[in-house]
Amino acid sequence: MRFTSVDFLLFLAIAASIFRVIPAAWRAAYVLIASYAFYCTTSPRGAIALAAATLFTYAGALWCERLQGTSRAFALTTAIVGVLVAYLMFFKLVVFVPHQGITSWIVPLGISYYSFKLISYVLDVYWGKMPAARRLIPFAAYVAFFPQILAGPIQRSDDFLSQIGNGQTVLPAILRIAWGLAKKLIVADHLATAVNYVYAHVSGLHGGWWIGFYIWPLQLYADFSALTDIAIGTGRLFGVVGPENFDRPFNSTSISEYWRRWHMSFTNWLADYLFMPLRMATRKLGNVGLVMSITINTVAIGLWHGIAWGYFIFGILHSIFISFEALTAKRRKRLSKQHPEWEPARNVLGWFMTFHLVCFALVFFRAETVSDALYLLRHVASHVADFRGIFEPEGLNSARAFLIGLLGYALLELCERYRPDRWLAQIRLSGPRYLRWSLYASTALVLVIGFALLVATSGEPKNPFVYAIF
Amino acid sequence: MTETIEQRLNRVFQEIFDDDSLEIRPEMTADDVDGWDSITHIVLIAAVEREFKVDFTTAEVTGLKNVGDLIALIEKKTSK
Amino acid sequence: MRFFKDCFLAALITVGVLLIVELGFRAAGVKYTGSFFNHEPERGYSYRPNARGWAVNEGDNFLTVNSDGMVDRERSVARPPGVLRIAVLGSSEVAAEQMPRDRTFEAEMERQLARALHRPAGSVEVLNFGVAGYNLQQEYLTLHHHVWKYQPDIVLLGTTSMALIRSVPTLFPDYVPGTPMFDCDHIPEGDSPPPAPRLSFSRRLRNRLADFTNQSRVLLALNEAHTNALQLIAKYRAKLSRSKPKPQPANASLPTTDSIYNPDDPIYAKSWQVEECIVRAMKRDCDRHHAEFFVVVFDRSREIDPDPRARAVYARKIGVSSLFLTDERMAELAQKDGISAILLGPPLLRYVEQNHIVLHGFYNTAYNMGHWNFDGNRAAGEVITQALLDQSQVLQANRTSASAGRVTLGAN
Repeated sequence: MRFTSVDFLLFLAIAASIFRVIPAAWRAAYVLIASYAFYCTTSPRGAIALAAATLFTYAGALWCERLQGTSRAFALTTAIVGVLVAYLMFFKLVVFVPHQGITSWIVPLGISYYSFKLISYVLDVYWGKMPAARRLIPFAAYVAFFPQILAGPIQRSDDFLSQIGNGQTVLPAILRIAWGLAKKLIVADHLATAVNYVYAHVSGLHGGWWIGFYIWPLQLYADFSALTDIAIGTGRLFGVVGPENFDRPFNSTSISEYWRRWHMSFTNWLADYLFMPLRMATRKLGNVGLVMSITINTVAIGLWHGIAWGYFIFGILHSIFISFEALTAKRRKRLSKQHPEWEPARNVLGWFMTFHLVCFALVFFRAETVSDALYLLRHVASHVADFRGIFEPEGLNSARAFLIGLLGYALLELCERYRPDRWLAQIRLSGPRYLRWSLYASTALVLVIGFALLVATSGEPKNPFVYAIF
Repeated sequence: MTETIEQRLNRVFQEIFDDDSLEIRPEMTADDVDGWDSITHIVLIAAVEREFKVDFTTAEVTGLKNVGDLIALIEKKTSK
Repeated sequence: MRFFKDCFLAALITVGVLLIVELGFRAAGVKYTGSFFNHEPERGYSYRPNARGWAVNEGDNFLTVNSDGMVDRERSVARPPGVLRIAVLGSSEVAAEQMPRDRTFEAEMERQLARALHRPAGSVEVLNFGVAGYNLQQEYLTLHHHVWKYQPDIVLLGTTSMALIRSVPTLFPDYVPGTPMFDCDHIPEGDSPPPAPRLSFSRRLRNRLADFTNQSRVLLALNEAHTNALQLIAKYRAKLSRSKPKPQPANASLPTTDSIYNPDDPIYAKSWQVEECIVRAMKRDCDRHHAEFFVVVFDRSREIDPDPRARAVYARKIGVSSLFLTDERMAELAQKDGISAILLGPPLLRYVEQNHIVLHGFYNTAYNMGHWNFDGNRAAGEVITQALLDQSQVLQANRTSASAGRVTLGAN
């Protein structure tokens, strides 16, 4: 079930309504059942794999806790994490090696996300950050939690387990979902047509490669952050507030900052469970250890999306960017102290460089082949105005769609900067009565119209979320 | 006279974050210090290890929430 | 008092928000197909006079219905002196809802005929009596009760195998309620006046509502959502009922125009009969009104796929030696009764092969699927014009008289 499908919204409406009326004590069990029901609509066989992985980790963590403090704890933890990593790698590689007689195997849905949840849980228990979960049901609900299983955000077990069983918040949840749907359907999908066309015809275009360079990151952000919005809103309908994934990443003034603001739940996870242990292990090696850790980390970010050269290069590029920043950090800081008057210029330059480097690396991430990526990069600045060919197949309509996407994106950035939802919340709390009433009426109307629009377009096939495939 | 752990730690912080005006407080977290991120964190840890001649484990380092935790950890390690 | 003031202000602001949404929809080009139909007792349904709105299922066109319920520009009922009039009957192929009115094959014919006959522009009128989804009975009733007041010199029946299928209730069980499906023994002939369309108050109200809906993009979206929701409910219902063992209804397989190619299939015998007798009745009607009658057999998109391999694959799939079999059979049936028939398939296929273009389908439809596109309408207009110039005695008489400097038309 896609998040933008009417089927999903119906499922959600029914599941959330039932959640509202059941006793609080049943909530965890109910969330578990709903999650597996959701999972089974796509892949019943994958649900068995999910249950098996959950039970394995649950039992493993309990055992690990018993051994805590002994030398065998390390060996056991290594073994459990090893099995989980092997499990993830196996399915990631199945896609990569197609002629092994296992092509009929399908990659279990959401495996990239739930195996991360499992690994961090085992490590948290081993490090003594939290006790192993005694109750299986909330733990299984944590792993299978359907709002997060398709594309995150990756929530930590202690965060989730402390919330499961809470009551739902309705209005903010629905508005968050609606915001996500609008972002996806109005911004991301409208930009997607042109971007897809560029990447499908890289060497056949007469011009307009810049769309693949500049617009693709915007599309990806609108698409992926929409997915997170829907996931967080949906989670709140079941009493769980998930972690945020984005903090206006394209406003970053350095690559390190960008990674603290882009796909945060994932990069924070890597920082805690991969980068940090790596750095601890290599801390005596000085800068060599630093660069090594950064490289392993960024390459892992790349290859997590799939085993392909494009993702690998994406990781290497970011490793270079971040290493450069880390190694020059002190010198740059000293320089900025000597010349505080350069501050504004430095911010603009930092933003400009960061955005372009991010776009640059993302070309490798998106292009079908490395040679396509290189071709596109070589031609980015040529025939900039000659992009009409991209809109030829669908004529005026796709040009208009592109324009809608761009305007929508501008609106999105403005909204996320100035947060008009906060003004509206202010009105709701303390505005005059007629304003509050108009707010309720308009919100209801806009939601109804938005839902109608979704149903009205439901007949046609639409673009899948970019991040639901990882 | 001998410095307290807090004073020595402050020196390490000033050196790592290249800021002579930095004054650490126990409730201080990474958000309060300019440049304290996951990359400099381990640089800081390594420097602390050198300064106090101790060895931390990954588990100990991940458990740290603020400067107070770090001071407590150093006290625990050095008093052994 | 405060209460009413607040109510009023809140309503005002909400309407303002709605207007902004409407403007947003317009700016973004969000549009859905409007409603153009009206229920009537005689033919089941017809175009609603003066309806106007978007038709976006194939291409996108702003469609206007004239005051007499034709998807045509305004026509004077009495034939202007010196004007040659051709009436075209048929279903969606003839109505050509996808086209701006000056780009339909009828409009193309008007221009081409005027040129060929050396007559001033506008002196040949091709009247569009097509209504989407009509069957042969509805087309007959249109001819019998609605066409003659326009005094056409020539009547064309544009037909496809689909109209045949729609003419038999057993083949088309889910058809619009109230659609006439009389058989050969019950064709209303003679000078019976059409039943006066008396609309109930609620029907009139619904028509006005539909007119209003056509004006608002937001309401059109709600309307489209409503339609889709009904389909979704039907889908879920089917899913639920499928889980229970249930005997399949006898006519579970929807009749398609694929299977009609087999003339011996008893399922279609009845529809061929209806086709034959209604076309004959039309001919009699035309003779009574001194109009020349032609059957124009329309092509189907698969017959004129530019790719010969695709055509061969499709012919093999439905088990025929030639994709034109049904078309030819329709033409033969007409010719047997002394009615001239014009086959569009073969000449359009030649046109497609010479020019390497696709005559069916739009940017928002599948390749070569659905109705004629702009090229299709232009090509069809040319082909029909040429066939009429070759075969029509009215036109030939007019051609010779035109070259002799006299106008004989409009005198019958």
